[in-house]
Amino acid sequence: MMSKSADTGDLMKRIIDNASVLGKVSIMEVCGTHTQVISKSGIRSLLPENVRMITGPGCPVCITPSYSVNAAVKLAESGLSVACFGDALDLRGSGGSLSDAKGRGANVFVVESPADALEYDVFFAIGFDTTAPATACAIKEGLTVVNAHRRFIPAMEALLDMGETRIDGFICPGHVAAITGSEEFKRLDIAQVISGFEVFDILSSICTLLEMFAKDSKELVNEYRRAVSDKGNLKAKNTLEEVFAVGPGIWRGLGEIAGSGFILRKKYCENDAFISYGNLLEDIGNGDYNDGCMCHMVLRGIYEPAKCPLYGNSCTPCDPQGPCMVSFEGACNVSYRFG
Amino acid sequence: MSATGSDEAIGLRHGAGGKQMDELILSLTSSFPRGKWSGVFDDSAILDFAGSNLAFTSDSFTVKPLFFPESDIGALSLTGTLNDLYVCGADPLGVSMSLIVEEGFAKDDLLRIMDSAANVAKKEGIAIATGDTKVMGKGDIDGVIIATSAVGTCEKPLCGPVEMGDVILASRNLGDHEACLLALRFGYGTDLKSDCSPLGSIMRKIRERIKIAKDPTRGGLVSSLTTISQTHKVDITFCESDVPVDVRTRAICEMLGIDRYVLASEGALICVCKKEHAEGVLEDLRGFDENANIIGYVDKSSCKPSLYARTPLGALRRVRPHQGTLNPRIC
Repeated sequence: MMSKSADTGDLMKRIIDNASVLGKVSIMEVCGTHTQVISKSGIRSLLPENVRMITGPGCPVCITPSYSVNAAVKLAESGLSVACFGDALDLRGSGGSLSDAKGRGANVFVVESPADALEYDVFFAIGFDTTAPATACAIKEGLTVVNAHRRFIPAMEALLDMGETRIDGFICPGHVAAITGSEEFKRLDIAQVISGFEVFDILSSICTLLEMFAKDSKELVNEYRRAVSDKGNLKAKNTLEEVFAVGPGIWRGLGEIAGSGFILRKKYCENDAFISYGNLLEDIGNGDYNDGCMCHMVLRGIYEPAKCPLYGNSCTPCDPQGPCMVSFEGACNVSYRFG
Repeated sequence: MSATGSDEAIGLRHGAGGKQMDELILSLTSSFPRGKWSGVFDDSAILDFAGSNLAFTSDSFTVKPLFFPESDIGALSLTGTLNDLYVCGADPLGVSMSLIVEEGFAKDDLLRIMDSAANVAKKEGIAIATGDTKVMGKGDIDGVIIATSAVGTCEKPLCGPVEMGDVILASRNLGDHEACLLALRFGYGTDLKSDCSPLGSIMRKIRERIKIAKDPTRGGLVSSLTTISQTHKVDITFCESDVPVDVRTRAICEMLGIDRYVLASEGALICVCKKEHAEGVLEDLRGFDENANIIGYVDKSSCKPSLYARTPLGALRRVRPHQGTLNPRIC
């Protein structure tokens, strides 16, 4: 593990030294905040040519399936008050976004936390292990949800199983790990570093991964010990366990992934909008992509955003054609804003 | 047209100070007669009238909440309007102020708002010469909307030229106004205050030595520098480590996942001057606020003008004009 006393200049030098003994290597980051920090700081442009950074499905907005968006939009357009996180507002399903519905007069509200959504009829609940505990707490208080929460680690496993893009190591999501604990990542057979969110943290993680590659080691290193323990946040995990069971989850771009869904337990079935407002949600459509949109390839790390023919042309942050251009943490949005 | 048809409706993004707003304004005003007025897409329009330059500006104000630490929509409307004239190099002569008030709005609050506006006008020595008042039905508008216009005279309009080697300065910490409002909206406990204040005395001190000035309101630093870059067809680079941003504003941005360089200020100034004037202008700016700093430079002329940021790591990244509204992130 790197000493905190090393400055970024020393780290860059060590990265260059470590990379000099390696062939081409690919490191995937799977957290939207990491994606932002990497692009915003310009890390990519400073790395040696043989070290490739690729972005995985780490933006929770991007992987939320059209079906769930359509449900939230349908409920809003049926006259119910629907609350969502700010960056879910512009996420499109096949029938437009909550923002579009709001423009047509629907009661759509942005909240910062699920607890703030208790005053509304429905909360559009999206996000990974990080966000799900807060929703679980609010569900216990009576919140009704369109539930699209996802467990993240099964998606990392699925990416490795798909084998569509070369991944030599993961920079693991610090926020998710703070909930799950570092031990949960051990089941992945690959070099991994759990990283914090400062530029220093990410450079340090890259440096550690390169050291592992040189030794052909597939360890898990926790560089984010200031927030991530071995067992994680037990209180949050217990609340998740109480409210949700584990089941399959649909991911935009990745399809159905076993064990990746947070499924509401029977005790809380009346908090599920699909049950309590099931009559309004009988004929909601699916269909995740606009013609030509390559988000499904971007989310799997196969395409870099600029390779999509729509990127920067018909697809921009103000008129996003695909989910990766919507959120501030989506791969295409980040690439467009920060290069 | 998109599948949803939403392109045909005006969205909040069309008023967010970014690319969509520019495109909307261009499409709405392309058939307007311009007469002999110049600079009509900038903060003010200028007319050569009877041997002197007349500067004319118009603005409107909606803000949530209407009252914020040490200021309110009344002071904001006067300040914003006057600043649009000041940054052109003008001395304001008078302001008009029109109110549209929602039925049921507390009269005391309205008086408080008007007092704030009057105080700014008195301090700046400017007359609120005329105005109008309308009341609309409950729910037809949200609280109060203020529309203003102002005229002034301008000895030497600040319009460039902006050239390679010129230096870019910021007069104080950037983004405090919008960060303060975001903190209020999301219930963050902070003692951050809006930077809302007139730029008259600063501008009078430095305007002889600067080529162009902007008050970075909607769209913030990125919008102001993009406008300068596009208007004068030059590449501009700003150094992130040199841009003054209050630690509280920085923290609010990080919590909400919002880029700090697109936050609005209401009392800050971005200006461009020749390199040989930079140190002197900086010294004068620091006389008003110690956080003033040289934040960047003009690279070169370009037929595809672009804005770049030098990151603290030393990398150079392209900065595109802000697009869309500022929606806080999920986690």
